[in-house]
Amino acid sequence: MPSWDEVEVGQRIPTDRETLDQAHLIAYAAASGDLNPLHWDPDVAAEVSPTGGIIAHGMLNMGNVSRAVTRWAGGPERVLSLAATFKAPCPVGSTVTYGGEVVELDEHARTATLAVWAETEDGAKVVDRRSSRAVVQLG
Amino acid sequence: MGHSYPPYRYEVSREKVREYAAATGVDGPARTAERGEVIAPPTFAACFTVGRFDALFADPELGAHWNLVHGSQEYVFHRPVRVGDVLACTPRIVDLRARGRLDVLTLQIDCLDADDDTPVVTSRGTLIFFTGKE
Repeated sequence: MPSWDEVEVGQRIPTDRETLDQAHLIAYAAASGDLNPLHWDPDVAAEVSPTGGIIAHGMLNMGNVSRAVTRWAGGPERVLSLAATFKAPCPVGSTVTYGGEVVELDEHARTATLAVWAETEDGAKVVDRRSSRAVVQLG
Repeated sequence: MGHSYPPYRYEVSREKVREYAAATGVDGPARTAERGEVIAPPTFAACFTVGRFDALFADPELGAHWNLVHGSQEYVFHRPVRVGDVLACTPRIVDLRARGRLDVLTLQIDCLDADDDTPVVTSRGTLIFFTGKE
């Protein structure tokens, strides 16, 4: 767990990278209960998807952002809040990079606020860092 | 506005936490050293919030449809979610606005510990509905 003395504004957490194939989306749908066919049925996706194809759950990308933040924070009990804006759709098969950067420190509460993001190789901001934040309790 | 849905209960089970952790690539639920409790990954909260959206909106008033997109999601964790927790969750609409052909709805779900009514998680999500209206 990062201690107050070690953390500075501008510091980045280790990034994660993952390719979200159809099997990931199906496993996530089953695990989370989000059974919207937009994430697994090409015929439904053709009708209602913003891209005309299957897209990943925003919450799967948020979950993967959360995983990177939780690892840096030193445990789920250190993550005080998470907020994600799902800006761009994330087509199935995308390779996504997950990251975070310390943007604010609160000395009184000993917390760090991170801007967090998820971005595809094409630069699509599937979790937009401008409006996505995590607040972490520091040691 | 201010429309509330019936509260529901959610019991956090070890196997569900394990399944969620595997689906999001987490090596295994965290265990706190002090008390041996198993703590869920933060976004496990999706299972008792976002995972309920479809059921909530299968509502004759709003129409049952899949043509909605999740615009944003926020969680405030008042304390970690633990295996064995029984949560009492109350959804309510806190904002609804039309933006051209879209309706943007903000749904808050207050999740309390059913044993003592203390807050555990506050969830706030925006849902974008394609209305087809001009």
